[in-house]
Amino acid sequence: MDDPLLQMSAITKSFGGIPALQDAMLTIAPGEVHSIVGQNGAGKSTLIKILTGVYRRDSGTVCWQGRDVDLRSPREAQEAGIATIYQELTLVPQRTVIENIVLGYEPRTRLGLIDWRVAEARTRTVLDRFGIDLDPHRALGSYPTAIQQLVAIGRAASMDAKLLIMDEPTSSLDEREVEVLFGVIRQLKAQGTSVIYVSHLLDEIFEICDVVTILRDGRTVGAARIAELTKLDLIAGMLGRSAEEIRKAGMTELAGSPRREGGAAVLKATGLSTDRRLRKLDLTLRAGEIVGLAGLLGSGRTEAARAIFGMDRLSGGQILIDGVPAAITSPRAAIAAGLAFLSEDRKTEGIIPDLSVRENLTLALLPRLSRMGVVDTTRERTIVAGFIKALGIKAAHMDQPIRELSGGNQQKVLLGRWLAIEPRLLILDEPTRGVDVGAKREIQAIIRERVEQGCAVLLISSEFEELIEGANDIVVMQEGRSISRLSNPGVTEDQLIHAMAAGPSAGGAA
Amino acid sequence: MQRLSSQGHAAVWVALIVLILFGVLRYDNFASAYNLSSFLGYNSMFVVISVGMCLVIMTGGIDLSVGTVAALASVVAALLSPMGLVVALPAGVAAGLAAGALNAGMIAGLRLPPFMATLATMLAAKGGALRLSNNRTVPVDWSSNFTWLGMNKVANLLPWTILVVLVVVVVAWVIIARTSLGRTVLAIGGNAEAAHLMGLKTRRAEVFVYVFSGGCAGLAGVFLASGYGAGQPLEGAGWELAAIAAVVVGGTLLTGGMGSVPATVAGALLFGLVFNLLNFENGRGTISLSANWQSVIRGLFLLIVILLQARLARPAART
Amino acid sequence: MIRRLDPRLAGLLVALGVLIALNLAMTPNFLNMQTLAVNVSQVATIAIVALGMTLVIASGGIDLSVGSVMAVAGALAPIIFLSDWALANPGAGLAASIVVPLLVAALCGVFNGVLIAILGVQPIIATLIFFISGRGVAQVLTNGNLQTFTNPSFTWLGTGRVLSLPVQGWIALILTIGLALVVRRTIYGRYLLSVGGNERAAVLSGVPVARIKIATYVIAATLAGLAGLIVVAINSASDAARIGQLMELDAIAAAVVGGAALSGGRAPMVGTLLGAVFIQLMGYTLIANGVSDEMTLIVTAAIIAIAVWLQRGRRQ
Repeated sequence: MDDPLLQMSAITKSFGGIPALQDAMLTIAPGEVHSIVGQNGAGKSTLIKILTGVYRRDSGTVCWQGRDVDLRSPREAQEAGIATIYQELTLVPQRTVIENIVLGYEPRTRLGLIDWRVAEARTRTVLDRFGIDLDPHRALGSYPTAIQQLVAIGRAASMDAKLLIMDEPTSSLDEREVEVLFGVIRQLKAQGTSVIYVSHLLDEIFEICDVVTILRDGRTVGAARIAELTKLDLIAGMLGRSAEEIRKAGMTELAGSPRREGGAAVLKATGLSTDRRLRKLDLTLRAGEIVGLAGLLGSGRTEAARAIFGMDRLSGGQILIDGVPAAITSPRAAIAAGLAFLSEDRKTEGIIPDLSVRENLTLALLPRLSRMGVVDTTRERTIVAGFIKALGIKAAHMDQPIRELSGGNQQKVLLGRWLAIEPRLLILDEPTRGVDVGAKREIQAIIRERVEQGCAVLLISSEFEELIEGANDIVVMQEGRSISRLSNPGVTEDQLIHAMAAGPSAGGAA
Repeated sequence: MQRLSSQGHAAVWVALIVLILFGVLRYDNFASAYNLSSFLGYNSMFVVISVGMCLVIMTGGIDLSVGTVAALASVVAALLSPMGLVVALPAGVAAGLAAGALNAGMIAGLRLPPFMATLATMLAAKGGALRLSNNRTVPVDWSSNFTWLGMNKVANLLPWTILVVLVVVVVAWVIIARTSLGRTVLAIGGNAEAAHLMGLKTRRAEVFVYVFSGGCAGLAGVFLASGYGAGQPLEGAGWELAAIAAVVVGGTLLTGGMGSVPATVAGALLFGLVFNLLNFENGRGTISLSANWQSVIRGLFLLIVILLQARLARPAART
Repeated sequence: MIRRLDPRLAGLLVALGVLIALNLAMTPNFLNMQTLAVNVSQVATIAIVALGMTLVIASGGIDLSVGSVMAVAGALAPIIFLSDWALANPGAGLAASIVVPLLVAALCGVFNGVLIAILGVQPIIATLIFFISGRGVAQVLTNGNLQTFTNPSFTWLGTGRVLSLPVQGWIALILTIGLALVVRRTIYGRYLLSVGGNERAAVLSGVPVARIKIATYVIAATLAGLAGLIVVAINSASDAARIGQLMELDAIAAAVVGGAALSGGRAPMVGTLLGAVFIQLMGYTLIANGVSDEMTLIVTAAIIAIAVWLQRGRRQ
């Protein structure tokens, strides 16, 4: 190609000794829509933050418009002509739409003061481009997320950038809005602006992007023109799958005894929906069985778990426990009904950092461990010692503050928190994420043990082997709906990938 | 959210107008030149401190030092009063700016939590004031022109102090509404992370608000000395909380990201007005509300405002 | 009970040790009983309030109303035991003059707690209400008058001695140990630390967050009430205008120096007691050695800033 607009080569970056990028590469031509794909932890977000000046690379080169650059702050990146729309909202909801669109680049009058009239005119131009009709004098936060997202995109698009980076831009947009967005992207392309499009929604990538770069485990494993690939190729590249690898890869510890027949349903969910992206979920969980929830990022799996555990209010549908309608209005009520939930984000929803391993482990069990308000510490220590042994938790002693433990061991403590209350239904959201290989297998073995003892498990996992080998049924989700169900024995990885890539019409009914 | 904020701001103006009308209709001397000028003169100090506090709160922070810094400034100004207004006024304000710089250094520089940092400054300022004044009130030099500021009015109606405050209010208002510094102040309070990612000069804005608040406190201290004839090292206790209350009543949220300087002024005046009206009512003899009841009423007033704001915020809140 | 000495606590103990050594060397009359009694007396009231404040801070909040609650309780007590009924029934009267103010204080705590935990008002604003009006209430109750009295059974609370140390010192000590045990050993204590440490995780683990917060504000207010009673007993006088002035700041300072983190999740009760002692001792050391009141304030301010800064350093 002629001179590329951007060329990033041999980029490395580590955080506290843990490598996030090991050999990442990215080449973008002018007027190109370029997609970056990869699973969680592959390094997409880190690479982008290096490009936009939020992080500084450890080594490698960044060549922008033909010159080597070192962008050290978001402002420098913006001034260089790189505009970004992050996935988490990076606008200010308390401020009006107009303010957000021009923030940092407000037009001035001759006196040097902000000229709000020009700002409003600029805003109207942006809004018209996106076909949005709203009152720009109202606070951004008073509009739904979809509108806020479009405003963020509009802001970036209006900044005369040479490169526009969009991170999951359509996560809250409906079909019409997505079309509008694509129209804008095509316009930008026509005028020579390039777009980096980060998304997990493969259909969109195939519709709007020209080129794709695949990241895996911190490395660029491939770059190709979209026209030359199929969806399966793409997923396979993201996951690093090939027939040989599947055969060689270690099995999980989740494989279990043959399926129990006719176990009573512990929990049955029909038509569940919430205000938070869950549209329609049907699920049946039986004692002694694992039901896996599969789907790409953003398909609504965590939202499903939250709905069942009482964290989000149901806007529709029903939950039956042991055949009886149950109103689970809070986690406290869920726990009383025999449910447990291991969240995927242990930092914000799991560990109490200053408390010890022991105190963290017994947090949900306390009511049963106390008499008249006083905790029976002897019994507590015995129980905790038992779990430390059974789960293989590596800690200096049970009174060590949990924040000093490694991620894997923290995860084990949290798992212990939930196992300790002896739940009938255990909901696990990415239980082995961010955990080293050895601990992974130990956790899997513990889960299997519990299941054999009669616990029902809802397992959300992005790791295919866990679902394929461990689950009795796998429910596939897409955009907040359960779209198909695969039953073991006999599920293969290919089948699962097909089911995930396909639309709601394919596959069996849930 | 916009609905809440403009409703919150509008409410304070409505309340202010209603109370003013009430006063005019009910009490003979309410609308007199004397009442107006003494009311404005007394409240000019609280208004200017509230403006400074408003800016700090817009960034999501807080400034507990304004009361004692005002006391310190009053002592400084009184001590320098023999040299006249031209020296004593800037000196007092400078004392405030210095305290503000100390706050800014701890908060924007050392990243200490604003509550604790300004608490420390509050104590230090008190100590400084006592030190400089040798533990007593410092009488001003009446022969210089120092007291001219605090004791004189325009057309026998508007005290000069309130006019100075008006200038400060307008300046603050313009900064917030029409400069990128002001927009950055609001952005920090709304979403500090986003503000940084958008490339805004967040540190500069943080430093600005604390120094500005200190300057406002300094100015209030000069008014105190000039209006009452003495620098008072022990005055100022509780002023910071009165300022916070004025900001809250004016509809600015403590969480930051939004707010209105004029509404804060209205809030400060409103609190003062409640006092003023109670005095009049007392004078009529229909009730005999001792001074003690006044603080109870203020507290009740704040409670009502908070409950209303909590109710208004309900529909917008989401888990 | 203390398995490993928290480095923060150790640091504070060392600093205290240094201060004491300095005083032994430099200050005349440091070791005599009178000095000790005066110091203990002053520390005790602050410490008692600070213990409650520590719990509130541990929950992630703050309580600005403690000084005013002290004033209210301190105003109520003489009113009760000086009433005709109490004079006729001295035993019951004395009991009532202790119990009723504490109950009223507890109610103030309920008020704060409900505003914060159920209506979602920010703690600084919610407790501001009592800060502004509580003292006024106390003054209304006493008609703004200073009430003096002689009631030896009541004043024993403030001036009595047990083992030649002031009663309130023992009270503070017992409360410290008791509350430390509560924090470590009871379900309330665990729940409190988890609410302040990571409220979302606490909710997910079934912790009754609202109940815990309300209980905490009630405890803090009750302790403040107790401190108010003690102050009145010490002075044999109830001055609603002055009881508990600026007490909230002293209490917060003691808690923070003692190791409480303003973000919540830590409730170092012994640390708070030591923090109060340290600040008091620092002030005394300076004054007894000729440093002026003003410098003492400045030094205290510097200590607080340093303590907070050190805390941040460790948490990063």
